[in-house]
Amino acid sequence: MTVVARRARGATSGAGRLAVALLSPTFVVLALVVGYPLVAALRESVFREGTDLDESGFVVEGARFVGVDNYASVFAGESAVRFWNAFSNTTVFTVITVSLEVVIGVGMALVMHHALCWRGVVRASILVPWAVPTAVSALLWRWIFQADGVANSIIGQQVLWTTEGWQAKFAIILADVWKTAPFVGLLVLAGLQIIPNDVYEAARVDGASPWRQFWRITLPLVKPALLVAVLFRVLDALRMFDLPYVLIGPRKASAETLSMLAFEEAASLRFGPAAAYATLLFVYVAVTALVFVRLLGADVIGAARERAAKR
Amino acid sequence: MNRRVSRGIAEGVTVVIAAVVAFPLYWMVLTALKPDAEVISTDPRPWTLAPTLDSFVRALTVQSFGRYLLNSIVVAVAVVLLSLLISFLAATALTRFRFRSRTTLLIMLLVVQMVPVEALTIPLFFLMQSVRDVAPVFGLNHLGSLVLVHLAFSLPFAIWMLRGFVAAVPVELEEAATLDGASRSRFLWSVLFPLVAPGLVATSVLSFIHAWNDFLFAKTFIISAAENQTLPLALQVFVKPDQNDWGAIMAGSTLMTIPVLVFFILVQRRLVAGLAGAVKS
Repeated sequence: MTVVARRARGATSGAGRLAVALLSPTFVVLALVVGYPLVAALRESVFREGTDLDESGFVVEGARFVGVDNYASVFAGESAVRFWNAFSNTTVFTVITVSLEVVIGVGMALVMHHALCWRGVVRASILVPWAVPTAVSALLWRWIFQADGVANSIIGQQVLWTTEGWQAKFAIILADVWKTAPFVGLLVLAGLQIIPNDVYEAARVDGASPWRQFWRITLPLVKPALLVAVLFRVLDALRMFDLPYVLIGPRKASAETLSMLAFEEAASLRFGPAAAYATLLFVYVAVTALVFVRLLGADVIGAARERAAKR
Repeated sequence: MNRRVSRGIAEGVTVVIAAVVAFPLYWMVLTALKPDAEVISTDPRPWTLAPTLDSFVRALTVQSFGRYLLNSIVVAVAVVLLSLLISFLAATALTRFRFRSRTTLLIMLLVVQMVPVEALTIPLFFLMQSVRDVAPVFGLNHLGSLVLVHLAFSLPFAIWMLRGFVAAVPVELEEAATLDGASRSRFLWSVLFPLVAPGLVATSVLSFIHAWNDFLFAKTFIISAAENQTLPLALQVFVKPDQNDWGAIMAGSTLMTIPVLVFFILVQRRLVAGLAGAVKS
């Protein structure tokens, strides 16, 4: 479309139509693969499968509408205990792993940024764990944490890592931090690239110590990159699934996360309750993201809004 | 002097971190190379005096590893190419055009990132079942189903990242191109596309790793077509209750990690530059 044609038709409607055309492949894919199953899951969460008796005593088969029953049963009796356990596991894993990943990730980024010799090798070796497939790294850590594995022979104790208890949580956290701290490191490293050197020169001339330079210059300037990394990490960690599933195994109270709970329910063909768990997890993640964006990362969305306003 | 000391400390810390990070990987390769007797020994030694390729041979021959490797590559490459194309178009629309629902759309993309994927496998399974009736290539038991799902879940992050790169290209450039008589589509492909190349590299790494790593969807969608399995599932063959063949598992894991590493090392320099561009905007 040429300028003339655009002017003639009115820039906004033409641009709007083009924008829609450019966005349509994204829409189609997301509506099909994400939208439809999400709606289906929401619908499923108010139905229950199986044979049952209705109010008048007739036998009914197939899915029945049960309203909020599936949700109610999540919070009743034994399943309430299981749900809250999974909820607290998920929360604990997320808080601890993301905090550790931020600290270690920033450290790694600084090391990668300042490494003098063998820069490429240092970078690559630090980033490799993130590139290792999760299924592989979970198996790898399971091998390390075997009863007669190398972890025990290093500490000289006999810990049964993959059984119920604190050690299972520790194993998951260690494996997850090992795998994803490099991801945070990578995003922070990218953020470091854009800090101009003369800022540090000036600080050095003013006699600022390296420690002070870090807190006063590096951290504030790297903050936007760090926030995006933390946001995406939190969203991912709340949905943690395959690492605890392969490393520790399903149906273990110390390791069960909300994703695993929903998956287990679905695997035992209880689709209604499974969909209820999935919906609750989705709400939990969404609320967390909202709070996060409100409290810390107003600029994550704000940047978009600002730019929109500018044009 | 002081400076040299602190530099020395920094170098030392670097080496220690790299070593800690690398150790589990060393252990993986070492296990793959150890002879069986040493692998099951209760007293693991951090080296081996008799390295052997037996485990690799087992991993490669017990089943058609090559076929699975090819499947994994096909899926990953298709996802990378399609997500580059689609996210580039979407990112352009979201940065270059002003329309009211733009912020809403960006937040919607973020929402996709929050969907608990594992919890949606059942509805997705039924979806793929119905897709099979319409377009078999994208339905159950076909690699297309995997491509479709990974494409959807790698788009949000890709679009978010590319947005910054597209925004960094000055609007004047577009005006100049238009004045020179270039059409919109010509501008898109001949001017904008090459300019955001670093961003495309970063995006492609993320999509590649995303698709390559998948275990769950391959397990859910490829149920009765063994010839369409991907690598992560092939590994599971060696996982048996109480008597895992750890040598073969680690050999398979090593083989599975190598392509990612190669891809990664090839693009890591551009990757960092690419991400830097995304952050800058």
